[in-house]
Amino acid sequence: MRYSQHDQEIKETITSYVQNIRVPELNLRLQPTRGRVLKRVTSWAALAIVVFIAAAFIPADDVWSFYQQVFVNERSQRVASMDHVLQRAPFQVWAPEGELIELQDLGADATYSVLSKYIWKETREIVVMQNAGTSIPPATHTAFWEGARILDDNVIIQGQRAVMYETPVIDEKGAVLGWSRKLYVILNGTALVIFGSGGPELSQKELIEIGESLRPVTP
Amino acid sequence: MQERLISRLQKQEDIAVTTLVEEYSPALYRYIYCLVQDAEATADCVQETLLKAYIALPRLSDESQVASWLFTIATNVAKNYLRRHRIIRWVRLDWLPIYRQSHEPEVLQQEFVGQILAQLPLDDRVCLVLHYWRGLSCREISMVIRKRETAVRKLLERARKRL
Repeated sequence: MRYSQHDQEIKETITSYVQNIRVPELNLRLQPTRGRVLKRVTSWAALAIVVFIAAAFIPADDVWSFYQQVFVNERSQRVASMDHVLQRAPFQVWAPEGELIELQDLGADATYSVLSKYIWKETREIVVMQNAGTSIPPATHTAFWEGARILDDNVIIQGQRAVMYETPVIDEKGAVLGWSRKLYVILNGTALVIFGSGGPELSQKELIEIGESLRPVTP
Repeated sequence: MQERLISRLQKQEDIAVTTLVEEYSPALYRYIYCLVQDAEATADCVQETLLKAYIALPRLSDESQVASWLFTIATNVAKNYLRRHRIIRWVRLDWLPIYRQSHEPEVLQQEFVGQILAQLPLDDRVCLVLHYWRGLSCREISMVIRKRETAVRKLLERARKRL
């Protein structure tokens, strides 16, 4: 078999790697080990006992309703619009104090859905987005927002931990035009992303002020 | 010579089976280790491979394909092992620099290639090792992993790029 130079390098590397794998003395027995069969039998027996005990204590109706809830209702309902999400959520819309411009729905499939846009203090447009996740992304998770950098991860908003990010504003050619400050906060178990647009970047103080002014409203 | 060995293998003669085991177990160990990356698990998989091969010996029809037949079984055994153990993957501490017992270039190179291979998808690893180490053609690999020849060609191409 003929190889190109690149192929030859790969071949040499892999062959050398494989040949250098130390093969220990193999104690081979051409029969299934008794321990493995016993372990499998024990696992099934343990599972059967657990199921038997659970069945004895939990009413069948409860099991059936749990099954319906988890496997039938939850999986069969397709999230078609934001209305459905809002009905299921323990809140309607989290919004900062301000003048409501519009409600937007990017679709339930979007990672982030714009919940509402507001004019805040007559100068800044604030957008509140909802994330499907309920945990603040770890500081090391660089893929969270491309090029995002953390300003502060010790912010407390309404008693909850929040993380403040700066994300680059990039033009079509990929040049960084500036930085946009965002606040990632979890309220009532739902992660919200708040950021300002239409003006200079929001200061840390302003973002915290917006976070503190968040309140649930009905659209 | 090989034909006679095969006919004895089909009858599961002890000496023939022992010859088969002695001849192929080191290669099988090395191959499975590339896929599983764990010495103890590899030893278990080698045993399971040979056991399955032993049981299937009477059905072995193509006499020239013993090696690729064994590697097919080994691939399936390794895949099953990885499927069962994909929830918990143990990370070898001796890969960390502080636990490293040797800093010789050959050892570091061996560890480095092992880590690179471990990060590739399983089918990529299978293709790379079988092609470059065992010298199997795309057609022969396609029979081992039960994919089309063109798919194997693409897998190999992808694996090369990833390397």
